[in-house]
Amino acid sequence: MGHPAKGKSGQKPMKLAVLLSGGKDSLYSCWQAMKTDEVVCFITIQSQNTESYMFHTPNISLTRLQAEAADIPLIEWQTTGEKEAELDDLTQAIHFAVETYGVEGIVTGAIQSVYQAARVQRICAKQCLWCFNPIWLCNQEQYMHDLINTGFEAIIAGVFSAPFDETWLGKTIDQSFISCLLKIKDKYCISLTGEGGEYESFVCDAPFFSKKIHISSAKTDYHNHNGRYLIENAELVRK
Amino acid sequence: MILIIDCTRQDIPLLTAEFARPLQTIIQTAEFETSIQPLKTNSLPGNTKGIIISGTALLDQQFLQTGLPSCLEKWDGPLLGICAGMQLLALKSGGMLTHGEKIGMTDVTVVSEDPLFSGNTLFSAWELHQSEVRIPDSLQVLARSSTTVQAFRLKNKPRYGTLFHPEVRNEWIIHNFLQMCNR
Repeated sequence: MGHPAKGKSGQKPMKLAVLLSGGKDSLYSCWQAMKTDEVVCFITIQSQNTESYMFHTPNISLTRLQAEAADIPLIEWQTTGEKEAELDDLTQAIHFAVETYGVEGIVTGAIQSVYQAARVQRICAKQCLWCFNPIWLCNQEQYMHDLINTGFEAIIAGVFSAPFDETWLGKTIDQSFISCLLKIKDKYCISLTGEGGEYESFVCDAPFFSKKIHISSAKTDYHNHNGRYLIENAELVRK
Repeated sequence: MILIIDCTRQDIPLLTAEFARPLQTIIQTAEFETSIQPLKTNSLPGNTKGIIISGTALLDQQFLQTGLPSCLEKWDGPLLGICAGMQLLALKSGGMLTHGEKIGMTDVTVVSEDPLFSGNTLFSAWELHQSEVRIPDSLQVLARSSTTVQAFRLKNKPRYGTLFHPEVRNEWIIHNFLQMCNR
C-alpha cells in the first residue's frame, strides 16, 4: 500500500487520505502529498445528484481504475447528494478511513472554492485531522503547465458553461488547450482550471500510475452548454 | 523585496504550499521581488521593504512556541501579520488569545479608516483560526466582525494584523500593503 515518502529530517511521514474525484486537481494534489507523506487511501464520494456542489460526478466509478493504477486502496462511499446531508456521508467516509487506515490528514484538490474548502476544513476540525490543500490559490497558469509537463494526461469529462460546446468533450488537456483557454478566459469569465465549475476533467495517466487508462468507448450527452463525456469502456494498459 | 515569514511547521512542507506560497504568487504578480523564510529566522535581508507573516493550519499551534523572531524588533518598516502572524503580533504587544474557532466567510466592517482598506467599509473575508485576540490599548482596532477584532495596527508604526486571510478573495488588501512598502 502507498508509496515511499520522504519525511523531512527523519520526521515520520503523515498518513493521508486523498478525496478523489477522478479529476486533475485531486490527483495532482495527491502527487504533491506523496512527495513528503504517505497516501494510504483514496476516498471517492459517489453522488446521485449530478448538480452537487461538493462532489464531481462524471465517470466517478472509474476512480477504481485510477486507484488500481496508483496501487492505493479506494474507499467508495454513496450519497444521495442532498445539499448538507452529503456532508454527513463525507464525514462517515473520512471516519471509516481513520478507523481502517489510521489516517491523520485529508488532502483535497481545492484551488479557490471557499464553499468546498470550508466544509472539508470543518469536518477535519471535528475529527482532529489535518486538512491539506496543496494547490490552494496556486498560480493557475503555472499549475496547468506543470500538470502537462510532469506527465499527467487528462481529458475534458464535462462542460457546464459557455463557450464550451460538445466538441470540447473528450479533448485532451494539452498546451493547445491551455493556449485556447488563455485567449477566451477573460471574455467568458472562466477560470483556467475549471474551478468555477466551467469544466470537469478525468485523469488517464499520472506520474505515479504504474499503468495508464485506455478508453475504448465513450459517448457524449450534451444540451445547451451542459455536457458530459460518458466513458463506457476503459481498461488499464501498460505505459 | 517583500519578505514572507512562513509561520507554518517546517516539518510539514504541504503547509508552506498552502499558506506562504499564495502570498508569494500575489506579490510576484504585483511585480515585487519576494522570498520566503521560516518563522525561526535570525536576520532580515538587507533589501527588505516590507514583511508579511503568514497564517497556518488549524491544527498547527507550533508558532506560539516559536514566537516572533527577535530580528523583527528592530524593524520599523511595513509589516502585516495574517491570522497566526496577527496572533503573534497581538501577543507581543501585550494582547491575549481566547478560544474561538472559525472556518469560512464572514462579514468584516472597517471601523477606523486606514490606507490598508483604501476606503472600503464592508467586505466578506475568509477565516480559518482556532483563536481570537483581545488587544491592548497600544493597538488600534481597524476592523471587526460580529464576534471579534479582525484587524488592528500599532498606533505609531505601519505594523498591521488581520485575523482573516486577505490572500483569499481580498488580494486588494495585500496590494494596498505593497503600496505602503513602495513609499
